[in-house]
Amino acid sequence: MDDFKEHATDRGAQSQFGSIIFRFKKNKLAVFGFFFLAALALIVLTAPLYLDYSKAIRQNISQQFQSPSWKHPFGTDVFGRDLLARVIYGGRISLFAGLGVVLCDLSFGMLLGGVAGYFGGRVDQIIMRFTDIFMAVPSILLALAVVTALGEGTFNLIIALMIATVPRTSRIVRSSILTLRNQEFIEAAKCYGTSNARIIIKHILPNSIGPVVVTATLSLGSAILNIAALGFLGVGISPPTPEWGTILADNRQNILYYPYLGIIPGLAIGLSVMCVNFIGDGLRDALDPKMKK
Amino acid sequence: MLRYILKRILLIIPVVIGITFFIYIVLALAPGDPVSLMLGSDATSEQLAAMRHQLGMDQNVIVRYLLYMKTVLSGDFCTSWLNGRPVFNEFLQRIPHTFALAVNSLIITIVFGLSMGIFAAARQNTPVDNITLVFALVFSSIPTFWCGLMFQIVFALKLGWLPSMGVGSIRHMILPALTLSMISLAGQVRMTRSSMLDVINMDYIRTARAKGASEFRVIMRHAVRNGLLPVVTNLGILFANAFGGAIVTETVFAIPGIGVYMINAAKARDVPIVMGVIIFVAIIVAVINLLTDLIYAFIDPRVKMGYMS
Amino acid sequence: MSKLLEIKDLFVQYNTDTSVVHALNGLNITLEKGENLGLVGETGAGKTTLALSILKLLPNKVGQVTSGSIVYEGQDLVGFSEGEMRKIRGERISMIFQDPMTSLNPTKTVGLQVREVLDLHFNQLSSAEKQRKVDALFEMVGIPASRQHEYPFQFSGGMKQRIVIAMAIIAQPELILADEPTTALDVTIQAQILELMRRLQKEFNTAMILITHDLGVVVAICSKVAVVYSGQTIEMGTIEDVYSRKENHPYTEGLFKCIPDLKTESERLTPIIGSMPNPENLPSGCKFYDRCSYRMDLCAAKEPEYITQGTHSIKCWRFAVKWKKAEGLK
Repeated sequence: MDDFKEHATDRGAQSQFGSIIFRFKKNKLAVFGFFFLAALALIVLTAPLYLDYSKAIRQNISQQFQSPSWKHPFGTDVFGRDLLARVIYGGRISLFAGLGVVLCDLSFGMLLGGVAGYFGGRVDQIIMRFTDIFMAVPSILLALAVVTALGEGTFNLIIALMIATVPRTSRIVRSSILTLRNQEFIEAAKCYGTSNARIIIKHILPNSIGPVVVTATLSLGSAILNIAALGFLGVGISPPTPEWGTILADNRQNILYYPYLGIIPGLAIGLSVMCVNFIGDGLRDALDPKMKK
Repeated sequence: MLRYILKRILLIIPVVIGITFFIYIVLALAPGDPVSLMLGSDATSEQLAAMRHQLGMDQNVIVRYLLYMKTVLSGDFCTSWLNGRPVFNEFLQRIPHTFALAVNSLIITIVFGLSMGIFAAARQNTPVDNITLVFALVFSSIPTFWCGLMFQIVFALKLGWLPSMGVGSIRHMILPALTLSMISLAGQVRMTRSSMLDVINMDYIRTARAKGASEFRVIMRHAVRNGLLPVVTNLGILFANAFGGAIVTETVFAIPGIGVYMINAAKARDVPIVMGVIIFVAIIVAVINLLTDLIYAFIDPRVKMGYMS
Repeated sequence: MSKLLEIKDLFVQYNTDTSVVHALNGLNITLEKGENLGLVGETGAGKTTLALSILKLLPNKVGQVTSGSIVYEGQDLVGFSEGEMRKIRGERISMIFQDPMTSLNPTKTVGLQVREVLDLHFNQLSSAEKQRKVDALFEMVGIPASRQHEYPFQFSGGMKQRIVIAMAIIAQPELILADEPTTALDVTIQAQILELMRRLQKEFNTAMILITHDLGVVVAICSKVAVVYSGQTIEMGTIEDVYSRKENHPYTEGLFKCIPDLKTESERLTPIIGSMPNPENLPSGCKFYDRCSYRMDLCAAKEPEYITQGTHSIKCWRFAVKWKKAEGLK
């Protein structure tokens, strides 16, 4: 019995976390994505400090369609508004509304999925029926319907998108917990007397966090895309609030002659989502011990 | 087998009821007054009250829901508040366009997604594989509507190779279908690659090699059959996404499908249209999901045998 | 009798991102036509690596033969191209893998999978002839031919292994590599499968390398045995040579001592203390040094000589010294 003690090492949560960070750092794309996104978030977050909001909405028709120059680094749009200012303030909406959607999504998703997975039985059945119902229609349709009801506004947009995404997230959380519950190491832990609380904290949570984090990161990407799409459609955000999608919608007729009006906002959306995807992908690889490489 | 199908069909009903109930309640309890929207701001209160009574809006929400469902079940999806045309007829006219768009984009997604995914998996860890992965990540970040806009401007307006909007021929379908398939294609490449890699590392693939099979035969005859099973399961979700994405793509290319219909209805808070579209789409998606499950059952011998015995 | 297979000083390593794993470190094997060699060793000794190396089935860029030769019927397989290897695999050398549950393609009927060997190597035969052969093989391994249209999941583990055996012998190869064919099966089924293999081997005069960690299995059907430790052959000889327990490598001695004796009573089992050296970081000199109760300073310093006396070979300084002396006295 004594020989075993010296062989067993305590690979606690600490060293596991460290090795995850290590693997993540090895992924160049993921690291690039992380820093680029952090930079974007910083620029956008601190905007009120260095950029006056009025610049984003003040119209000046005489200045319309100016190509990018020193004065207007991104040029001006159809109403003569400075595009750089609009893109930066638009980023606040896109990125932080996106974040809002993901946080709400995660909270409710983990709550519902966790309850369903852990308690099982009738509770599980009821929650699953609910998710079935909400997953019966494509999420954009659902979001559209909710926005129809609630009206325009960023907050309503977040609620609508959250309703559209929580069902899927709760399913992922639930299946993650179900798989874990049935694994042999949980049975083994029970066999030598580990309490339920300890099992949840030490075994189930650390192992289920992984897929959930990856899903959350990737759904941030979808959220940003959905917000932009809904903005483009003219649903959700009302003028003159800038948002990357609405900027594209405003200038749609003129992109042919002034390409920068289309390329720059599109690039903003694409780059942010790309960074998020790189990060999510890097996280997924870092969390998977048997990497497929 | 038949019993299973019947059971699934029956299950569609509570789901459709559930979603319509939820949407109806949300729409009904929402702030704002569609009646005043309809009649204009200078309508008198008697006119408003009369309209409300006509539409049955002076009653309890649950009652209204039941009345609505009763009407629907008799085949009448009410008329739009916006333009007065019956929802059902509009829907029938418009759904083929949306359906065609979704299906065409699905074909592109599957054909190219599968082949590129299989190719990348067969060449794991080579530069080709790595580039494919990066491209897939990048392409899944491009907003669909922006992609559509750019395609429209470059290929239709600037170069004039293809029509920029509307429907009518296969040429009209090319840009919209391509646009819609972008993001799904990227995801499909990754999914297929991942699934194929799982299979390639299986023992039975090693057995096939030990028998003297060429790498090509191993991939095509042994790996693909097993690796594509998860892809079939995914078809239902792909279709639902395509349908959703079609809505956005339609606005860019001015395709007269249910997408544009739904968006205008949403902006105007036109409940009959929104409800009607939700019901129809829910049924379509459910049927497609059922078909996908049946196809899967047919392909995987383990499931097929289970139903035959 | 000409040698069918002669493996000399084979070195194989696995190159991973983080390290180099030295799986085989100078392995030696000889095999005559129709002979049955048991390859014994613990997990990680390199037995499966050897089998995969012979057929060039090591994982593509990761596994690598760094030196040594695998001479089969006079030709060195190490230098063979992929195309040349494909003619050998399944037709002249075939392999039976360890886990029957995962060795068969779940989406193809078992009949088709056995038939594939003929499609690959004897395609000139007509469809009817191939069908006859497949039917005959199924009967031979004890499965009704009518079941060939069923899928693997419809068979038990033992029956799956019989199907794998059918796949391995249908082309009548000269050599079969059986990698722990019975480890995943119940003991009673084990006996049946071994008996089947012995019978088929006799009938077709096939040579076999039977890889196992079970000394008892080797005695049942093998005529020769080789003991592998840390990627090296540390002892090889006839069953008589090794199992008579008169002269053995210290590791083999330890293995025999591990087996509980029915006749004597004891309180504790006698394991070999310690474990195999880490293949990423092998010691120079004798690999068994740390665990050997006969060790000498010479053993740590120099890699022991692989010395032969008649049909018995041992890689150990004790015997290098002892047998050379005996040779000298003659």
